[in-house]
Amino acid sequence: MDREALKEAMKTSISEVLETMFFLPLEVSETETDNSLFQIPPEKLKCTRLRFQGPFPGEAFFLIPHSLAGSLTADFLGQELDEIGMAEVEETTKELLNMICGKALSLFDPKAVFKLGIPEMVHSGEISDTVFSGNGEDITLLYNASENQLAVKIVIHS
Amino acid sequence: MAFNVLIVDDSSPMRAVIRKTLRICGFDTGECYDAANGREALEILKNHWVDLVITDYNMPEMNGLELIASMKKDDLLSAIPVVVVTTEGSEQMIDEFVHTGAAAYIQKPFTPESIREELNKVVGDLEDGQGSVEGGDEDLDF
Repeated sequence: MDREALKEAMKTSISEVLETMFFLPLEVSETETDNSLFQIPPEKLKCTRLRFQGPFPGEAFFLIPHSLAGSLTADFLGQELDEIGMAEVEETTKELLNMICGKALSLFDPKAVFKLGIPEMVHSGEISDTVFSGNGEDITLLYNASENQLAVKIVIHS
Repeated sequence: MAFNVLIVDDSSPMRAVIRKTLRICGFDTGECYDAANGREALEILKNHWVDLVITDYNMPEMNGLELIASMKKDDLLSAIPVVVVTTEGSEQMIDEFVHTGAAAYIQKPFTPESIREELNKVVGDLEDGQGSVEGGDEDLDF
């Protein structure tokens, strides 16, 4: 499995999804030095997980602070922030991961068939064990966005 | 002519976005129905007149392919065009959508332009080539 190619596919997918559907502007940029996202208490984060099967099995995670998740949802739905409920925020973050993962895997190998699972929320109490622990080969991309950070991680299971 | 549309996706925000995109595109929507999976979609199709189905692929209980296959087995439903809007992008899956009977395929993420382009083809078929979706590019602001 070409790790660098998958990483590039993830980068392209994240940019495309966030810019096309969520209007997150071009100032989103990758950072390798500031990982303040991981210092935020888990209860103030939204985390989604999506498992997949195919030429290689794995799972993808999307991690985002509550505040940014809310504004992304509002932009996605074309509504004001105070019109958005928690259920809509969670459904939107699940769909966001669904699009990022699906697009990334199809860019990585257009000929391969990956079976995506149904995205699910990760309970705040499980975030540390699931997202921050390593259990396989993983690729983590961390982005600055609107004075916040968000992260996408893919774990490849051997 | 207003078209009754059924939107099938297990994500309620995505159903809302598709509905909004149809409006932005200038698609002449009559009644707009929602379903969270293929099984719910079939129930709606039994009880309501629908001109166009827009469906996701990966859904619990009954996925988009299974929905299309079920519709194709029914004399009344088989004529309703189905547009697949999905994250799936593999060549094999696209072939499978077309082979099963999808009228068009759009990969997520999508722009209003891409939706309009595909619906124009489908609407054109529905109206024997005389219909099209209104709206210029300058109006397309998601």
